[in-house]
Amino acid sequence: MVFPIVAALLFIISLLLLLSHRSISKNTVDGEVASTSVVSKPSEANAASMFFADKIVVPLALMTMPLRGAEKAVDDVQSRSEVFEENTRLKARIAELADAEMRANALAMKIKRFESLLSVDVGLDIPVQKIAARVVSEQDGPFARSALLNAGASSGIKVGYAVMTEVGLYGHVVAVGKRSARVLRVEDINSRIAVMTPRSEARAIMVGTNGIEPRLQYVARDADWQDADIVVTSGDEGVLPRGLPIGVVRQLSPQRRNVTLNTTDKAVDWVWVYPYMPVQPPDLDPADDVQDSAEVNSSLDGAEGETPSTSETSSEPG
Amino acid sequence: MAGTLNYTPAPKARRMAFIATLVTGLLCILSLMSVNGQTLVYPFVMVPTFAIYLWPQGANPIISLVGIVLMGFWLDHISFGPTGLWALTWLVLFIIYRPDTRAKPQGYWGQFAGAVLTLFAICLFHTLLGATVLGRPMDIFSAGLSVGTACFVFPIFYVIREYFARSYGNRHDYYYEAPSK
Repeated sequence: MVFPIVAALLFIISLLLLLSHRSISKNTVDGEVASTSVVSKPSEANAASMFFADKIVVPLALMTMPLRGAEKAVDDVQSRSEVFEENTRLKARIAELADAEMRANALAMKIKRFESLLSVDVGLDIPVQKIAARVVSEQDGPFARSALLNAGASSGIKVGYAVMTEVGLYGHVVAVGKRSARVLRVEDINSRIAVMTPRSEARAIMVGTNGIEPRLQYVARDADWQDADIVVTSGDEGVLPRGLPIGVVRQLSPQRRNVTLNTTDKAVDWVWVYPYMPVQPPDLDPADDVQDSAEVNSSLDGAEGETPSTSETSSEPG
Repeated sequence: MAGTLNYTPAPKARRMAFIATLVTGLLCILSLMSVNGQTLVYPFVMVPTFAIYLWPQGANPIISLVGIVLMGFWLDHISFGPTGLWALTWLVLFIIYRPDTRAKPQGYWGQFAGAVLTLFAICLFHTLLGATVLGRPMDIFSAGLSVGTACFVFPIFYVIREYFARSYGNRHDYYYEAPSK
């Protein structure tokens, strides 16, 4: 008699928790865009999840080590058989890139000169300093695509930082523990990233599908997207830096476009975490000693009536 | 008495439920691992299901229920999946199968066939949950890979379980066996 009651009770609790997850997830999906995907779960759940993740990250890293070693050995054997062809191909690629590097250097010099003429410093969003981390676990579950890194707050990682492989964007950090960090991969259904193509600067939102290829959504009617266009982050959501490579467009129909990710053709072991401080809105980053324009004007008006202006004051002693 | 379950004393039944829960917890950690192929990743996420399917016969049912649900939540948390997904899945699986009261002897192939069918049943259940409760589609390709990987791992799991069952316990605690004539 006790068994059915306990079973029913546990069934209801589990179902209610699952339903509550749906409402949270739905809010995320219906939310504005990208920056909302940084927090796909309530912070309490993140904290609990990262507490457990911190505890298991070390044994998990140790357990995966032999696996990764075996995979590397197999990879080494295979790449040895292709080394001659690869060498020829790489030499040709170096020759191509030498020309591209020369042009890039010339353009960088030109931009620097223009910036000095205009007295502006636009700079690059992509940070020079990066944090290396190992992916100790990739979750390819039926409803989630995430990964666990073996570096956390103690290494300087914060929520929102972009995570890159050597070929492209892998995801972004959604929860940080002391020694571990949880990455929401770009394929996850909760992932929303503002993207653009450098060719036409057309914008879109890249939406995860839990499949291999994310979709391009919220594309303007006159936006110029073509098949094989390179996709990079636009930085419009204020979370990720601009210009991180993601993949190329695969046009399925005039209205439907997927993104073939750069990261999917190879297993991921090591990643770079890119520290990036997005521009904060003024209400989150208030300045203490700034008067509003009305106060400044009224104080100036009052000053004009009582004391001479600054230029007059400076001219008086002469 | 032929054709009935062996009697399991209450302290032993409780201990078996706790051990099975602990093994499930360890398998949950193992399930975070994956093997990286040249182009695909083979996840172990379905592997802990074997522990539920092969839950020891005679284990205390109430402790088993609570343990299974707690381990489901544990896997949901550590895998960053929807909270309650695995807890609900395993609970339904346990209620339907009632492996703690299993009365038929099963050899390797019988267990293997049952485990594979269970994995497909879970995929079906997840598809249903995805369409109704979660409101999002399940990735069938990823689920297929998980099922394939779990099937590949099953013999290893079976051998380890058999080893421990024979080394540290009475085999009657784990399976029903008809008494010899």
